[in-house]
Formats: sequence, structure tokens, C-alpha cells
Amino acid sequence: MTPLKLQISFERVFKKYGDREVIRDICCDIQHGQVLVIAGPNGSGKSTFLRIAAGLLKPDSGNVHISVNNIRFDPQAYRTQLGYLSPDLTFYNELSAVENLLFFSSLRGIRLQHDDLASILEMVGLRGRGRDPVSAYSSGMVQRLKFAFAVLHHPPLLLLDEPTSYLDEPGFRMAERIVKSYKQNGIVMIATNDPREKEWGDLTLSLG
Amino acid sequence: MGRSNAFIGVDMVAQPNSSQQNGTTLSIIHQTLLILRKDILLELRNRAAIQAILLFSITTLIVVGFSAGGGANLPPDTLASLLWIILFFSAFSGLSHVFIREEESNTAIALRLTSEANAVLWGKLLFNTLLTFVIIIIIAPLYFIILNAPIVQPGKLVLSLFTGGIGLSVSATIIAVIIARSHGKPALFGAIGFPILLPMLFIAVDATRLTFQSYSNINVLNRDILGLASFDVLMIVTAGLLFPYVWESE
Repeated sequence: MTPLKLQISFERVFKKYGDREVIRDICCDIQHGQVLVIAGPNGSGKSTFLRIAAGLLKPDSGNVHISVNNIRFDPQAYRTQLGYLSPDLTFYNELSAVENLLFFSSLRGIRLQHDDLASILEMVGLRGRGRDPVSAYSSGMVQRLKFAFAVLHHPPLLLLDEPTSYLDEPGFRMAERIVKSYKQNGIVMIATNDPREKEWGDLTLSLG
Repeated sequence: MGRSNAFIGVDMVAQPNSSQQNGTTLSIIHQTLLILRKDILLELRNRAAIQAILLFSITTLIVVGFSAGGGANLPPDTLASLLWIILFFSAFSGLSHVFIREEESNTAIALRLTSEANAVLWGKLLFNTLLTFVIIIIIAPLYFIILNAPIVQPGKLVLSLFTGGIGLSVSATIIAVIIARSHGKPALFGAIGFPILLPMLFIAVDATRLTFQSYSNINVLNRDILGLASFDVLMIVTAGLLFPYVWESE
């Protein structure tokens, strides 16, 4: 099996909403094994930058390339392969955590076994609560489920927007473990203003 | 787990060839069925669409039944028009839920991260078509009983109802996604849908009217049913071409 080598490049990326420029002329390269922290005040474009990286939003100008073993992909084409967590990501409240995870993993073509599910739920601290409907979850539990959703397919590129919102101290440590683990296998990008999360970064991009 | 990281990379890198295109097609079919199953499960649990539809349709049916006094003296034109009015508004009261729910609850983001745009379209379209068929199966027999409709050509009637039903569901699906993605008001749904569906409704009413008449021209009836089927194909192709752009729009 060829070891995966990932790189993500932003070339003069611009994005504006109406007349307001949110992202202006961003150029950066992130290499395999690095954690990029995107910092900046509220409204500075941190989430927009991550959404562009995830292929959920197109820049007005400039290019974003995701290179896998030196072969380039458009973020939109790579979207189903990456891991993404953000405040506006939600799940089906009528379904349980397990049903949500099974549904989304099946869409990605992954057949999760009972042991896989158990270990993912264990990792994010939802063991024993997987059969509960998401509507019965607290904000912290939903945040843990978002981590499970983001990593259940072992993505080489992990994009995290305010990853430790609503999490308690054990939840924070869980997030830290995941970031450190995924850093070794690819690239992690984190949009945050939390000083403790900023310490996880190898590179910092300051917006605004 | 089914795939390794390296395989994800290799899978994406290769140039498309016929076997991979078959793989993509299979993947879209698989995703379509998963989305359909998920929507059925959600509907069985919260019954949002079916309750809205049944509330509207049964109420309208009873009001029409009472005001028409059993319908014995109603001409075929009126019988057919009333039936399609009930079906149109019943369908449109519920069919928009399937997309607007995804957008309003932000679950569309997770769908966009995990599935092909076309799979989302076909899954939603199949769900809405199933729902429309359920409406027709419940409403049409009740309507014929309450209004004492003289059915002369039952086979052609069923054909006209179901080809018309497909037209309703496909149009409703694509209009719902346009409204949902533009963050519009659900009230716009009927306003936009009505002009698009007007030609189809004219043909459907005419076809249904002819199935109530013993002296009807079979060629005209066949032409109407063919017209309905053509409208269905046109709307399905349009939906397939339009949807990826609407789904990816910001």
C-alpha cells in the first residue's frame, strides 16, 4: 500500500460577501503532518476559509488544490473524502447517533461493523448513548458526535471549526488526542480563538 | 473498516474508464437508495409530510363532497378538475418538506459532505413520488366513492393519475430545492409551482375527464396520457441537469 502524502495549497484566494471582502489574497501551503491554526476576530473569515478548503464554498478568485501523492484535486471533488466539523453541521434529530453514523458512513461506501462503531463511540465518549436519539443529546454530546462523524472514515484531511465548543475537560482532551493522532496521518486545519487550541498548531494564519 | 486512507487517494486519482464509470453509477444508485430509506424512516418517525398532506386532502375532500351533494349531477369536467385541484394542493402541502427540512435543520451540509449531488436528487425524487402515489391511492378512491364518479375506463384513469402524479412529484422536488437553497419562504412553493404545472394540470384534467365519459375519443385520451408521460420525462431531464448547479450554489 502506497503511503499517503497530502498537501493543500491556497493560491491568492479571495472571497467577499456583498461588498465586504472576507478573505483577501491568501496564499499558503500546508504539508503532510502539519496542523494549521486559523485565528482572527469574529467575522474575520475563519469559517469561510475552512468552508472553501472543504469545497463547500467556492472562492471568488484564486485556487485551492489538494494534492494526494502529488496528484491534484479540486476541494469539491475531494469533499466526500475529508473530515469536517463546524458549528453549523447538524444531524437528523429523529435518528440515533448510531443510525446517523451508519447512514453517513454507508453514503461514503464504508460498511461499519459493530466493533468499529463501538470503538468510535468509545473514542468520542458516547459509549452507551449511541442508541439515544440525537434530539435527546446535550450540546456537548452533539459536539462529540460531530467528532465521530468527522473521523469515522479516517480522513487524511481534517477541518475543524471551533472544535472544543460545548466540550467539558474530558471532551477537550479527546479533541486534543484526535488532533495529535490525525496530524501524524495527514493535515489538520483548525479555526479557533481558544488559546489552548492554538497551541496545537504548527502554523498560524491570522485573518482580519 | 471497508477502505484504507491510501485506497481513498488511489480511487480518486485514476482517470475515468468504463468500469469506474459503472462503479460511480452503482455508487449513485446505492446512495440514492440509502437517502430514500433514510427519508422514509424520518417520515415514519415524525410524519411531518404525510400529516400535512392528509390533513389538507381529507378536509378538502369532505368539503367538496358536502358542497357537491354527493356529486351525482356533476359533469365530468368538474369532477376531473376538482380531483386534480385536491391532488395538486395536497401534494404541494407536503412535498416541499423533504428538501426544506434538510436546509432548515442544516443537515444538508452533512449530505453534501458524504454524497453525490445526483444521488440526493434521485433519492428525494423517489421519496416524493412514493408519497404522491400514497396520496393518490388514498384520495382517489375516496373521491370516487364520495362524489359517485362514473368511471368508464379504469385502466386509463389509473394511468392518467399516476403519470400526472409523477409530474407533480418531479416538479415539486425541483421547485422545493430551488426554494430551499435560496432560503426562500415555503409559501413561495405553490406560487412558483403553479405556473410550471399548469400545462400538465390541463392535460391531466382532460385525460381524467375522458375516462369518465363513455363516448370519449380514445385517441385523444391516449394523446393526453402520452403528453403526461412526455411532461414527466421533460421534468426529470430538467431536474437532472439543473439540480447539481442549484445544490452547489451558495
